[in-house]
Amino acid sequence: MIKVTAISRSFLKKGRRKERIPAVNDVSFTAIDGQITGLLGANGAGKSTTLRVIAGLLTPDSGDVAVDELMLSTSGEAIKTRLGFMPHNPGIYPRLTARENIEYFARLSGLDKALARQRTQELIDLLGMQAFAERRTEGFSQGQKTKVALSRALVHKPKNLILDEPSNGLDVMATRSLRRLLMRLRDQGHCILISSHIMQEVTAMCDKVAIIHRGQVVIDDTISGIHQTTGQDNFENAFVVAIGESLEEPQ
Amino acid sequence: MIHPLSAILVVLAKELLDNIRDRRSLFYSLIYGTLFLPCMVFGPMIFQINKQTSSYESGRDLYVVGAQLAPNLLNYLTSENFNIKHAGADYAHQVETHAYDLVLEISDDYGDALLNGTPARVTLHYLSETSDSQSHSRHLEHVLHAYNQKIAMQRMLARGLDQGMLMPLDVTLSDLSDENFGSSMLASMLAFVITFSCTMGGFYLAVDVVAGERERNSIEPLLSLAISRSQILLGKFLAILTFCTVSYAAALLMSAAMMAFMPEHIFGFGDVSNLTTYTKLMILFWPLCLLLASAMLLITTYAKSAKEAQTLLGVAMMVPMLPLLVIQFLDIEASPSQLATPVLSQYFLLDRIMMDSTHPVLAMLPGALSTTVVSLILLGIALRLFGRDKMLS
Repeated sequence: MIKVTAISRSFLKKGRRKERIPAVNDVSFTAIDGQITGLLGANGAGKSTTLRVIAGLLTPDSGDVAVDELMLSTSGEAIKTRLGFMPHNPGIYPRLTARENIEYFARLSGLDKALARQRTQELIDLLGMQAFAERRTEGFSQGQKTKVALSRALVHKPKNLILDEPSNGLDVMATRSLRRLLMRLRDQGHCILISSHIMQEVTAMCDKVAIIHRGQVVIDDTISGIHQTTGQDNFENAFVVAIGESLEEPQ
Repeated sequence: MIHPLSAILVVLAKELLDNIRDRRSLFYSLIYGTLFLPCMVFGPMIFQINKQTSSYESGRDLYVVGAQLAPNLLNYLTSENFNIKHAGADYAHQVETHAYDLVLEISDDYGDALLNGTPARVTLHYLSETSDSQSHSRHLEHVLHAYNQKIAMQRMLARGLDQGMLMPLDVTLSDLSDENFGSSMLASMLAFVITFSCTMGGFYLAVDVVAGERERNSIEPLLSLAISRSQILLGKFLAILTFCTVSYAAALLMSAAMMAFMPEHIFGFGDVSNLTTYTKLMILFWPLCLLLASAMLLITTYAKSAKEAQTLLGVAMMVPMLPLLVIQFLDIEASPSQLATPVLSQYFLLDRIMMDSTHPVLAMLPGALSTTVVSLILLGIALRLFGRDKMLS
């Protein structure tokens, strides 16, 4: 379970004047086990910053995050063992093979050599990477890169999974395959938190959605709850209403 | 969670493998700096010196026209390591076509002129356009000049005159310096080769391990793992240090192998191809290697992109060369404080060890300590920078 409580984070503005720009402000929501929670928002809304704070990559100015029973402010390193994080960009090593990329993360996650090898093979089989597992990742398609990055996030069998726009750049078949995998993990009891700006993806996959707008969570509910609160049948319209915009098309 | 030491070693192993697979990086670290550079710096010098000296020692062919007219002169030339050969009538053509380096022509009236006490003419035919012919002719000119003086002295003696009358000054050279120009020059060249190779060894790896990771966004998933940032950075630092060490050690060994071809008497010292000398130089330069590796790590951690890291490293790699230039231009003598100054200390001691391989190892200690301290400070700053949130692109 991931419980985010009133986190705020600002960044220093470039230039002479030392102004700070708030990226997220007083963000709170909960992602529970056995569910896929979506963090939905437009580009620049604060989704990635929120996920980076949860993953322990950015220190919040205020607020805290609880992962299972551990608090980020006091058990930052221990929390990381329970999290699997896949950032927006896969960031894989081009001169290493897919297998070496996964094994590297497995070893750094504390698995011994034999276990790292075994776990890597399991993921190669699970995600259907046999055809390119021994190839250096330079020149991989976006789908292949995402599979390698997802394997790295899953290699230490984390209870909680954070995926920043996981279907970014994937074709239809790869997206469907990813969706099936995440649903399977959810059914196994994992807590999955994904960020997205694609309505279709969120409605197809998420049990619960937190809509974030200009650094603040404006609504945190189930899909049907959001429809009900906003009074909209169409989820895209519900999103527009939730962020306080007009449904009328601009002239 | 992984043991901290294991984490450092896993990062080190990955960085080494990654860098070995990068052909550009491998070329600059293990071939350019270590093999090409010593060859380019020492090769032409050794070739020229050997060319000049070996011919004097082993004897050079001298083609003579009219050899039968001057038997004593030819005996003298033979004693001076010339192999006398008779030149044919087409000697001028042979010189022009480079078949002969040099031809000594003895005039027909050589014997009569000597008897009458008038100048006996000998002509040197050579080609000023070729260095071999020119140096050969200059050497022969010196030898003939000595023969000239010898005959003049004999004539004075035969007439009852003291030869000292023609030599009012008795000039004696007495060099009291504890170093010589030749060894200093070689030491400077070697210092340049070692420092440059060491820097080139870690250059591309340094660019790649932090700035490169930031640029290709691989730093983000790496930092999300349950290991401390200092473990990650130390693993990367050890990878840079390994490449720097391999590069400078290989460059030093290559230079040592090349020095074996250097005629020792040319520079007036005997420790230039001595194994002890190079073992000591290996120890002497390791702290400098440590310093360069930590400086490179600091720069790549500071840079926002691989391009910026490359630019900054390109400028920074000149910094360790500056003390070398200062020593050369200002002709500074080593004081105790300078022998405890990072970089300066290594350059001064390199000169001394090349002059005398028995120079005490303990003399390296102050410089090694100060260099290590500065390295650790730079490493500390790099660790601090790496801990910032700004490390995420």
